[in-house]
Amino acid sequence: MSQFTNQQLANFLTKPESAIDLPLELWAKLILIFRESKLLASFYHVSKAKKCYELYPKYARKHLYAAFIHAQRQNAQVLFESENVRVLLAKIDVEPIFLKGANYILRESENSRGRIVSDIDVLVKKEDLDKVEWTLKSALWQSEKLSDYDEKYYRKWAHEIPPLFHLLRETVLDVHHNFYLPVSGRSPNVALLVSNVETSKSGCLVLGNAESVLHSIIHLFMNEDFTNAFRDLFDIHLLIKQYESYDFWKNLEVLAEKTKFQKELYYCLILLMKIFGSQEPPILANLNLRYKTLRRDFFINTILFNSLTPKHSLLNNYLNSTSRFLIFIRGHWLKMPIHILIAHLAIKSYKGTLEFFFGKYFLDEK
Amino acid sequence: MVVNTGLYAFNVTCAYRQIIPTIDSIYGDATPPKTPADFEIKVASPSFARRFFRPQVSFYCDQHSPFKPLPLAQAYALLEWGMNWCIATHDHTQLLIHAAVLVKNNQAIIFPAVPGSGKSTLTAFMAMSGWSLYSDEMAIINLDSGLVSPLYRPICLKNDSIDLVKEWFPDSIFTSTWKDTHKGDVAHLKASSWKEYIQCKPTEIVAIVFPKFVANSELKIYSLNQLQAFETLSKNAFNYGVLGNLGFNVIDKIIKRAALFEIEFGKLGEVEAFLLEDIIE
Amino acid sequence: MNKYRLHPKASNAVMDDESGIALYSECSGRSAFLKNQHQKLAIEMVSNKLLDTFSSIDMQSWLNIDNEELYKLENWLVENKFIVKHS
Repeated sequence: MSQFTNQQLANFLTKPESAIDLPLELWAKLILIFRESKLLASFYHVSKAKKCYELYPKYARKHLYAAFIHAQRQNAQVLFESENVRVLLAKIDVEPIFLKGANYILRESENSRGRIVSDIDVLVKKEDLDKVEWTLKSALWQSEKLSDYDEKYYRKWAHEIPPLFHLLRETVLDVHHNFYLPVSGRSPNVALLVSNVETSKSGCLVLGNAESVLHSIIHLFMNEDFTNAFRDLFDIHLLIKQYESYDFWKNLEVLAEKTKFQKELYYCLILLMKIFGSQEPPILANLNLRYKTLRRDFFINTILFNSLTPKHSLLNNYLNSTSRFLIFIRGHWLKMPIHILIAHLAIKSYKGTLEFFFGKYFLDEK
Repeated sequence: MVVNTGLYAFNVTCAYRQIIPTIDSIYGDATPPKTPADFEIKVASPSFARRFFRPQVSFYCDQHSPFKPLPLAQAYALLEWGMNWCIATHDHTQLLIHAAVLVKNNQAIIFPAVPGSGKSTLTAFMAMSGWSLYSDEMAIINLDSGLVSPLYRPICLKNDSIDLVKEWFPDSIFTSTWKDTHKGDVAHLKASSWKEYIQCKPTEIVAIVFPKFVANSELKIYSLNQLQAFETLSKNAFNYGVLGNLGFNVIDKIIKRAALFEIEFGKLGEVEAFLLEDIIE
Repeated sequence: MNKYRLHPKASNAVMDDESGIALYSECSGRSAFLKNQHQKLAIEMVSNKLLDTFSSIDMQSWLNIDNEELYKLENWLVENKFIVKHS
């Protein structure tokens, strides 16, 4: 039996005052779930903004505050790292565009407050990729050690080079040349998403408002890994809330059409209404006409909805673990043509079997 | 079962019943906490096969296992280290320094842990000689006041010091000795009771002493300047990197209030005599 | 000659036993521990000038280092956002 529904979890984030009277035993569970879904520091910020943090029990406050301190330090570190990468690449006349977590923090959007960022994502032109990699590697950014298979996967099929990490600071940097895997046949025309870039206070380039939202949607709904999906949907909720206007919706609609991600936009809007209680967006009527079918509604309301549940033992049940498995298969399906996919999954699941049997450390190299 | 360490409560799930009596012998006298556990932890087999084939245990903090598994016989030691890990990686509301803390007459001395310092033996000796044990592993320091808080935990002793302490204090309460861990042989000593623990209050740090054990050495005392102490403390703090300015400011505060020493010692009695004579008022 | 001031997001703590200065940069998350190589005079200079502007020569005399070390240190302090160039 799940402790909280998706809507209840979302409700704590959008109406943090509803947690004031929560019994301590439920607070303990909520804290575990939010910590695991990387939302504990965000929860601190929303409760602070709505002036209810002070009304929470001391037990809850100490955990929220600790998460806030941690996220705050990370936030400062992301600003520092992005600035370093910008200055370094400027020397070879490359202006990287910062994506995802770094984008939010650089643009200081509402969702950046308390946002946990595990790596810094940048986009560069495909033709600059070699010199960017070379320049970074000569400045203490090194490749992680990968298995031969993973190395080949990145080089041959992915839209990014293998992750780099800074030798001294251990920050992880992902360098992309597209928003989605080219091998899938669905990678958008990069030019469409970068035509409206903005400059952050520190001089770093970030995507425009509508582009940021669309990229978050692509990243969420085309992925096979839904580990952080609930957090990612909350990101989109806050971004839309902050930026929505007549022009914003218009831009988002046009952008989704040109890049052929309207269906994913539709999924997202339905789920935002269902989970975060968002108002019906003005562009939904059009999307309804084109995409609303019984089968698709089932997919959204059952498979996607249940996969979005944070992955925590207090919430796990048959429905969401099955949904997550289907999403895992679907994510790979979307990414690769079938013959490549079968080989890829076979290797992944062989590894998975070994891990299940011996524990994951069996595969660690000394 | 719930383990109450005073400042933090742990909800412990054990797949191995055999460590429960050990947990009871160390924490059994603590009263149950008034609030729910701060951490959900578990010691269990990392996989199905490892229950039978060279049995191993893993430590889990909620959903994840931060360390490599250890042989089953070391389960209790793993639990203790895991609890340290939970505190050190989650509590960023206070400065956490890898150090022992002992208190006399409401004055705290912290002994930062440098390898080979003989810190735990010193801690055990002093805790069994009338000092209040605040911690063997972690100085927990309030970011505003700079006061150090007590933690209800045993002392982790290694190798030869286990037999030494047993010899000095034959009545002391020890766990079994866990052989051949990555730290050598290890045993935990219960050096205070819950009744004593609850008398301990947040206390001013009057001295920071960096000990170094040198066999048969006469006691040598060197005074340390503030900058050296600042640097060493920041490097010994688990969460200095996370706390940022908050950590910087509180270290600045404590090094300016405390006496700062480095000592070389061969006999524990001489250290205690020096501390009582020159530091504790 | 370069003139500097402390980075607005850097904290400083002057040791009252005159052993030196500790710096922390909120931007880079790093700490620096600069040993005082002189007597009282230097620390007084540091505590007064540090809050205002100071030059490479000032730093060199406080820390008693040669030109090459000074050059490396200046770069490191700038890169890690402890100090900024003052124009």
